[in-house]
Amino acid sequence: MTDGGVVFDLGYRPHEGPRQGRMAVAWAVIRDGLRRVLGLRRRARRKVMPWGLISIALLPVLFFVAIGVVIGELAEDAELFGHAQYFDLTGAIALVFIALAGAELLVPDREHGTLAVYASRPLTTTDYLGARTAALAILVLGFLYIPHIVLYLGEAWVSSEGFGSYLGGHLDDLWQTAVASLAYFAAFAPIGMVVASVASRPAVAAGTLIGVVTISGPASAGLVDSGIDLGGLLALQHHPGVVKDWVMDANTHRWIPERAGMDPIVSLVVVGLVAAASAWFVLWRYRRLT
Amino acid sequence: MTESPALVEHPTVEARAVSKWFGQKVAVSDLSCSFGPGITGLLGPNGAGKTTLLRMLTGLLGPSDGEVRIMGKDPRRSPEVYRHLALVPEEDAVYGFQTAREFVAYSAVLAGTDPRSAEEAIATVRLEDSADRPISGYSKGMRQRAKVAAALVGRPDLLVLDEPLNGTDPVQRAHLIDTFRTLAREGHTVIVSSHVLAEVERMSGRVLAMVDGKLAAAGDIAAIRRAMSHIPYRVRIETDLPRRMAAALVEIDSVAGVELDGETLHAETTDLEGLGRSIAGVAARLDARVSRFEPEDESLESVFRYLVRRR
Repeated sequence: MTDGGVVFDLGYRPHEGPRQGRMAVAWAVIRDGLRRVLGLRRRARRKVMPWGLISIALLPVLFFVAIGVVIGELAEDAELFGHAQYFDLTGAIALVFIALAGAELLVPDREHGTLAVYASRPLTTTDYLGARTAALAILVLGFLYIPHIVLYLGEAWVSSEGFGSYLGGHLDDLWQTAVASLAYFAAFAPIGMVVASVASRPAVAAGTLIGVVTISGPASAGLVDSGIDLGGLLALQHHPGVVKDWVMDANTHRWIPERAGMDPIVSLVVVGLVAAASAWFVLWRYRRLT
Repeated sequence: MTESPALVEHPTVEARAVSKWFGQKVAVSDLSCSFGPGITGLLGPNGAGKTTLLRMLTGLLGPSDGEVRIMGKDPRRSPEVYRHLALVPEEDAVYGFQTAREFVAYSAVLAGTDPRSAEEAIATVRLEDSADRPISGYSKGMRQRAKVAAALVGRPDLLVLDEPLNGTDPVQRAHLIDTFRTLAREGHTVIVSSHVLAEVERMSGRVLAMVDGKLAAAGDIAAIRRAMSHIPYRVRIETDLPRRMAAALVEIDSVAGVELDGETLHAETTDLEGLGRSIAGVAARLDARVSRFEPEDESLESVFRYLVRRR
């Protein structure tokens, strides 16, 4: 604009209304995270993986329940469809889901340089990471828990006790599967966040988490079989299974920590310690970044 | 009145003796400055420390020494100051998969305002026609405008823009400059960094110039211009009578030297405008045709280094 020019009045006015607080801003980040992981408002190919995994976790139980509702009973010899047993399917897929979701939640913000956008808003580093973790928790807990709700409702539907009586009489199934879901989330998601906080590409982060957790099983088994019982602590993939069986009073597998003679509470402590250390690392890393 | 032209009386943002070093490298050294309502241009060559200073001013980077205050508060400890602040970073800082409308609306929510205000911000940067296309398909200039819209949507009292005109075409640049001037006129504090003197000159009366992490000059443009007037400008002149023109130019007092390079003249002068006026008369007297007259050395680096040497 030259000195003889004109400045146009663009009608821009300062904001005089109320501003939302930190919680509302954090909730916006959570919603963004949910949309991003599920590929909503994205191209079809971005929906394939998340919805494919959700389908693998949910469709078997949906079919099982649908058939049971049609024929009037649930097949009792279908071993996969016990609450404790179904985690064998969903727990393994949840690892892949967490790997993809964790990477999608953290890596693009660094990749696209948008961390500065968050950092220059009324949102602390803790708020940002908390919101991203909350999005991951909603997704993963939903991923793990919803099949059990479906199964629970299906069982109630065909129950000879009557729908309402069954629901009231089997509330243990609900809280036990909720706690077991939480165990799987706590075992895998924090490590996923650690990997995603340092990886430069989402695919690298996802592959690393899957690789590390998957390899931990055979590596741990090798140590335990050669007489090093402490090697059982490294069985990252097995600790949530141990906790799940413990909570649900089930015995679905001979888990490696059990083979090493470890009490289930050891697995719970390992999961808790790994989660706490991971949370500390991610927070430290992001405080340095922002 | 404050003692230094680098300081203002009623600051929105203050840097008090801030330094920032990364390992052995000192990016900003013992720099004090403040910014109040209106536009301040932060000028300096690439690598001068402008981005580091802006990141400290916005609390994104903690100073190694000294302190920063936004509206009297330490931004590193008071996240509520970000309700009044928006930053347009130099890097892309956009999601390529989002449309501009989605990105700006999301920025509105992050700023705690109504996402419907995105429309107004998009209109302000004149991006309406492309607002529903993914940002990944945008030109650099359009991305810049999307970033500016995302900053404006929160209606900040303090707007910090790091090289916001990079990649914009002349029309977009003029419009963005108008927008920043409007904001400043309405009482907002606008800090704009640039390595292009002409850009800062067009939008800002007050300038802070940085070189090598230090403040090289501060004050209004005219004062800095005067400080720079000691440095000879190198001017490229193309004419059909280069030898006769060269002989005539050396007679002009403000011309320090003339170099002949084929059909092109390179003249050094301490009075660029005066030479511009004189050359028309010289051409008329010689009956020569001047097809080009332009300053050659537009790099600020040499100018700033000169200012630093004078300190």
